[in-house]
Amino acid sequence: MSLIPYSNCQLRARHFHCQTFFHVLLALFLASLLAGCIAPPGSEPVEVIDLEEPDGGALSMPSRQLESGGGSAVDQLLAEAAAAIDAQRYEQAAALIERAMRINPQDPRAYFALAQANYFQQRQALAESLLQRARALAVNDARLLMSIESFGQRIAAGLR
Amino acid sequence: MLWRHPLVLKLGLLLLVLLASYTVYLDATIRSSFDGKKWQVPARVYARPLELFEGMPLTPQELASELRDLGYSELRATSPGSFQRNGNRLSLYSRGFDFWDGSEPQQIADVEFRNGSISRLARMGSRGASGKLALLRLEPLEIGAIYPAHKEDRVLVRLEEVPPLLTAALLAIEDHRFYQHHGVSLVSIARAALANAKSGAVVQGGSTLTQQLVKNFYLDRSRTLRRKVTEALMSGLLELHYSKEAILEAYLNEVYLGQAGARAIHGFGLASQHYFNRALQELSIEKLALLVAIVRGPAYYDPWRHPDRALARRNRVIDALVGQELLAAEDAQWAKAQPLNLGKASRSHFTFPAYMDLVKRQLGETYKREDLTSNGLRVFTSFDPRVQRRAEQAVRAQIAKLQSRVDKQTPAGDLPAENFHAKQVRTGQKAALQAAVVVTQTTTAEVLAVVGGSDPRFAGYNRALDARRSIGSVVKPFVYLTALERGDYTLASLIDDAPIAFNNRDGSEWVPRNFDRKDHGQVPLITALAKSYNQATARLGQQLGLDAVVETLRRAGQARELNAVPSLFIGTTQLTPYEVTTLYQTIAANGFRTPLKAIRSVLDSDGKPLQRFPYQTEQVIDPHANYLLQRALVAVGEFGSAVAASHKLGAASFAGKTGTSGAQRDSWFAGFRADLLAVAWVGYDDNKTMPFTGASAALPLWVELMASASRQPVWLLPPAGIEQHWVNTLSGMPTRRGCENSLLLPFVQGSAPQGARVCDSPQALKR
Repeated sequence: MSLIPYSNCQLRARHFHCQTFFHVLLALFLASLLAGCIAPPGSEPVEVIDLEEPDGGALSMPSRQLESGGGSAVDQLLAEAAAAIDAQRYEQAAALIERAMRINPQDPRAYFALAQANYFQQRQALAESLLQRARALAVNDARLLMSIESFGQRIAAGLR
Repeated sequence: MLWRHPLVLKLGLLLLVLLASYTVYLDATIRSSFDGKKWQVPARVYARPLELFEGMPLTPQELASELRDLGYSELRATSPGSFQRNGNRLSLYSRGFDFWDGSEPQQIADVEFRNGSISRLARMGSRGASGKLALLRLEPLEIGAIYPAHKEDRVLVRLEEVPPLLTAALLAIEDHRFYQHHGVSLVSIARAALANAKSGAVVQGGSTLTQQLVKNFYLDRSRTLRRKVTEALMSGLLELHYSKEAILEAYLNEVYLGQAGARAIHGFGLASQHYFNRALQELSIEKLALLVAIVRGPAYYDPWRHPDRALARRNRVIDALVGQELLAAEDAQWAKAQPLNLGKASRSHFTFPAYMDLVKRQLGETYKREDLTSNGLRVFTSFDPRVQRRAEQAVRAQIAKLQSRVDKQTPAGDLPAENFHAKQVRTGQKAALQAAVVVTQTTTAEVLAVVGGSDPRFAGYNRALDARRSIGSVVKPFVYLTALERGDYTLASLIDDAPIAFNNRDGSEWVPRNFDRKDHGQVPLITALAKSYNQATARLGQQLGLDAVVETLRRAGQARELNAVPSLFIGTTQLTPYEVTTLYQTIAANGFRTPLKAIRSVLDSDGKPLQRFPYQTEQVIDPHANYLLQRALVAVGEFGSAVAASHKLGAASFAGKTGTSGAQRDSWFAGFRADLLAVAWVGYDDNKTMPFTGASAALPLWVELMASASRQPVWLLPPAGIEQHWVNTLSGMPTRRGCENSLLLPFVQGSAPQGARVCDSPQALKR
């Protein structure tokens, strides 16, 4: 999903048409993310790291993703957050995203979504910090990185 | 005739005018105060709500314990606030709750566990139909309230929320002509007078509910005629202006129903919590009847102190219900056969003074005191009862162990009699050895638990927030971070550990020494940090400059000014455990500074969102340098000063740093895993020296906490542009996997040490 058509739009959050257009894009984007994440029925539960077992692998395999469970819970919260952003209820969206972050603090999608919610509330600096955080966590997810980059460019363009 | 005498007429007229104006005055008083009656409702503080989802690490025991804390009954999940556990399966009927981001409905859920986590979560509909449930949020545990000075406490209830049986019972026993009279009931007064005359003592009161309310609202407790007249007048006026329902609702919320220490229990809403640890709506007949029984005399009928009296009066209330045909005889019989079934008498199980202290301080930055003590705000925090209990347990266990070691080393008989500490030891008084712990969620910086002293229930000096103590080597990561950020240092850069001296401003000399009193020559940066060499660190600090190191600390989150002297490099700086937590939080969160936060949101008394404390973050440390430092902090447990912890937690499963202040007055450990970050401190309030270092007092405490509360080993995510190479940790030279002292280390692209890989044999290492 590309966000490029948006570049023709003057980036001012209060600009109604732009914002609505952006919301549709955002909802589509989050929906596409979710579509890729829903586990097939009957899938095995996430393996939990046993504390007693000496674990030396965490550092020698730096690209290993941390599994903290809660995949579908995080998906549901982010979907609800996308709907809240769509309805311009940004504070509620932020609260929902923060719940998702507590369940899995390593999920870059949560930071990305929170960047967006903050951006629409005119908190550009915080939005940029959150994008940086999302970028750092999405280091192994090229598709998500692309989306983050293009959103970052929009923010930068809007700031000028 | 006398009454026609002009003087009498005039006097009579004057009296009438006086009475009329007094009535007008009372009327104004009543209307202004009743209309604008602002119940003083203290702010309630809640723990984090437990969120259940598939894959969540949680055992059935832990869930059951959380539900019991929430006052759930344990038999069958048939009504809100109940659950049933069957081995690895647990059914619960949640109560529902209003949160900032929406309402959580009541629902019946089925939870299955496997290997220490939730393997299945399903919603149970009516007729046994079930569906997958992604997320279920339980009600939050109430962990405290913020009371006004006179400690009046209540939970407001609306008349329509009150079980009809409660009001029926109340009217039946206290004022059965409530709907007939106009504030004062002459019939009731006459009957009471008759009954009292018969028995020769005051056995029955003639006061209506309206009179009782007026008494509570406006009048003192004296029994003068004037007060009686005023009470009657006011009751009449109240009835004139307000509906019976409004008066009844006011009564239900105002009536005094007991005492919990200094806290006065007002109204049926709170009384239900106080006596049964459940909401009023959830009470069965005999419990409602007991609350009504208590109205007559909360001290006299105190069900804990005088269970027989309370039971007898409760049964009289039940009989009164039958007498007025409000309850069937067989229901009454069943109810009367029930024991008192009181909840936990002591709420000390739910007191967390150090955390509440933090909440009050953070609230105080935004709210005025009267807003907190009277407006019924609901404060939602990130407090985690599970983590808090584990932290308290770790503190108790470790302090007991350490204290017994201290006692063995200083037998009381060897000390002079006037020595206060010796006296304490001899008389077996609680030890003076203290501890403090702060625990946060590693990435969100939400404060989960705070322990303020070695007795976690004692609300006194909060060492976690207020004790400024020398942090020792806990400061060193920020010296090394300053070096790594400059770009000309790597983890393998050699640092000279030769002796070094500094000239203080006053002309004196400061000579830092290594803990083992040895010089280690040229050591790689990672080894100097992991093994906490003072001489190497002080030299590195000197090369970087004091200002640069202080600036790094400031960026990492140190808000208070620091005394910039060279001894800062090895930790003479005095910080609180809370301040240290802020600093380490930045390292743990990949160089993003996030202010520590205990409060998530505040709702008003109607459940409407008032304020949210949003997540804030800012990148303040270069991500590459921060990653290298994280790697070095893992080495502290691999071969450095915290190697002892690896046996219990697993090698390379945590990152952190030990700290010991000069002459062993303070023992610290600050560190993190993927889910939790904790800072632990051990020491004496009077700065006495201890026979412990950071590794022997605070570290075991930290390890015990993490072993019981943390579920995820540390997880480091390298930023783009990092490459890994095998390096010898003694020489800093390139080596191969499997060679002596080899370690795989990260380097910023192109910065790894050059040269031929040497695989040292143990002999070659001896220099």
